[in-house]
Amino acid sequence: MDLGAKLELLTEGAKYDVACTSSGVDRGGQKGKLGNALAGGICHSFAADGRCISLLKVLLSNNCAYNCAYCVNRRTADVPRTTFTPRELAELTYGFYRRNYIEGLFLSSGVVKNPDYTMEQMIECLWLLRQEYGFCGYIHAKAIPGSSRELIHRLGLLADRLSVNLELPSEDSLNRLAPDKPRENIFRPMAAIATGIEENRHELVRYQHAPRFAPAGSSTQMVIGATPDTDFQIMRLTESLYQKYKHKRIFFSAYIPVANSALTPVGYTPPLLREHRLYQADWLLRFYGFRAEEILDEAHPYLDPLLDPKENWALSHLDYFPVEVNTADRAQLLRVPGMGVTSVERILRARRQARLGFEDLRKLRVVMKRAQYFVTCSGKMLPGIYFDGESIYRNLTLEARRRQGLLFEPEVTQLSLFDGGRPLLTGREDVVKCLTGQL
Amino acid sequence: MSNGPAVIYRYDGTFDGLLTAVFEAYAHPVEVKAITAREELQMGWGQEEIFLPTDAEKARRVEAGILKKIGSAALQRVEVCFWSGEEDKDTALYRYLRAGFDLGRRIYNSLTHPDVLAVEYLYRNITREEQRVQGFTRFSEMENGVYYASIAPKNSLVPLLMPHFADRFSIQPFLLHDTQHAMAGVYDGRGWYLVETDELEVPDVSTREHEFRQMWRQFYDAVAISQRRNHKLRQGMMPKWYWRNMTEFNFRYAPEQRQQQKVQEEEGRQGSDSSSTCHFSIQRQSK
Repeated sequence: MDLGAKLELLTEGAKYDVACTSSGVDRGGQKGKLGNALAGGICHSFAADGRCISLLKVLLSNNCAYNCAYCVNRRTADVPRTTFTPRELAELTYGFYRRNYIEGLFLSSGVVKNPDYTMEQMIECLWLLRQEYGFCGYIHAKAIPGSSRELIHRLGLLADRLSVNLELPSEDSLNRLAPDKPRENIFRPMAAIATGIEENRHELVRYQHAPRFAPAGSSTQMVIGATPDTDFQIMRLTESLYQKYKHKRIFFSAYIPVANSALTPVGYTPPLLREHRLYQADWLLRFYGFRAEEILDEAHPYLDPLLDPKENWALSHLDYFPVEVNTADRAQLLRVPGMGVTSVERILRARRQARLGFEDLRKLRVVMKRAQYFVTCSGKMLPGIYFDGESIYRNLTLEARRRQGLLFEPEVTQLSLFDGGRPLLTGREDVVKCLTGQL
Repeated sequence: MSNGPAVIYRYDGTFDGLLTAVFEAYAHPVEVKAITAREELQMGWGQEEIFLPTDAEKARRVEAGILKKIGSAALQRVEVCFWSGEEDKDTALYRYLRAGFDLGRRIYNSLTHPDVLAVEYLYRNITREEQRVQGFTRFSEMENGVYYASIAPKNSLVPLLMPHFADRFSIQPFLLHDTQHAMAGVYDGRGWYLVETDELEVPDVSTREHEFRQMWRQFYDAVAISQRRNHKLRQGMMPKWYWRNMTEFNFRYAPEQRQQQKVQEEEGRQGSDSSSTCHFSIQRQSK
């Protein structure tokens, strides 16, 4: 098999992994070596699905010994099997990097023989890149579940970011779909990485030149929609993962049916909107000071498809609003729909200089379409805005309802000649079920 | 100073030239309607047009004034926005500096001031494009071992991009060519400099270059998830304007086909000099 065909196959096997960020570490170029890294990360291209291509995302091998039901590379799947030699992949990465195609390498692998053997192959490839080729670009490596602590440590010294995929949101789902991966095999390496990073931080305080262990931190991801786990469960899990393992990012991946999987329900479409809402909620946890319990609860276990999670929170906490732009503190402003971290920062700076009016907010790039219902400037609401939950809800969801073809009842009732047609989905509840695949 | 006669200042397009114009605007009782280096700017009625020769000493004095009265962040902002491709950027920068000399350090929090907003817009626009082009630039290995990339950004980005690429690709000499602004950055293995490029003959690519291009396209096609196809999203993140210089959308033919095509072209041109040597017909940019 020629290298191009191999590359194609091993990309096919790796592409469902979502993380493709090259962020989190700043490293200037070194004399006589190739590459540097920028904390913000760089997107080098965008694929036809609109996702950023930053790293060469490939598997070392798709010859997997495991049989996880959601995975393209599972043992029983009918796909051609192939494996890069460590040198082939190092050469390829180096060549792509010099042409500015990529920011670095994202290396994952199917489990060849056993987890430790696979890890050794991966380490050899990264070692070649770093030591022999002198490559200083970004490397994200996947730790193989069930591999030994010592190997994870060696991997972490070569890579910028490490991750272990959580795969599925609950133990029950995992047992059912990934019988070869006991949950503890996932959490053990995850904990090893977290402590490795923590210990390394202490070492660095004492010895400036201590080798750096995964300087860009760790991340994980889970598949959404293949199992009946609710958004509330997912958010609570996400929150505890951030706290416990200090992940930089947690990724969600809408389940895309893979060939011949018994898992796929008839008429299944990937829950892309649900994935989008989960990311919005994830942002609220990380940057906006929200807790998972504030976003969802037992009684409302799913995110609203028509409203973003922040709008949803605002509508159920109307007593918190309207917020006065000229006096509210940072935390209060961050809760206003239509205001992001950047625009709040701008408001705080600009209002030291002058009182802000609605026109000023627009100039500061606050999204007034959403914010107008929730703020006052010098004690006054925007003229014409009626502060009432029902009408705000109608206005905020207008576009979403139109887009999803859910504007059934005309805002003003008209007489119709064709009354009593076929019954349609009407309530919000139905839409939620539709979205989560229960209908 | 709005009671003096209205004038348009022209300068030679260098950064010092712009600062000289700012100096003159303060030195004379005139109302400066616009500052520009563009030939095609229309003159309005009753406006005098004055060409200002660049004076490095005046420029240094303005620079020192900015540092003292406004601060280094303002100077840095002006230096970056100077490379903007917007037509009226010089006038906007002049107004920004005027506001700065009035407000002093308070300018940094005057985010709703119209003149500050205008430069803020320029700055956002140029840094955003800089970040994009950092990623979208594609180098090719030439047969003489030099790496060559052709870009066509809307802003004049080469001076801003060179430090990044020189740091990243310090082990390979390269040439970053902006066809839009006839300017190139040359990195020779030690340092980099800018050149004007009216005519640039590029040598042939190396033999293994085709393999890498081909494999990159294979990767690009394979990594997309067909069930998630979303062209609108892609185009929003990566406008088509940039595609012309990106390997994943160009050279979509195998080397043999390329060879054929080349032969046909040769036949069509008959007798034209097809030397494959590299002569970058360039002169150092005089500052």
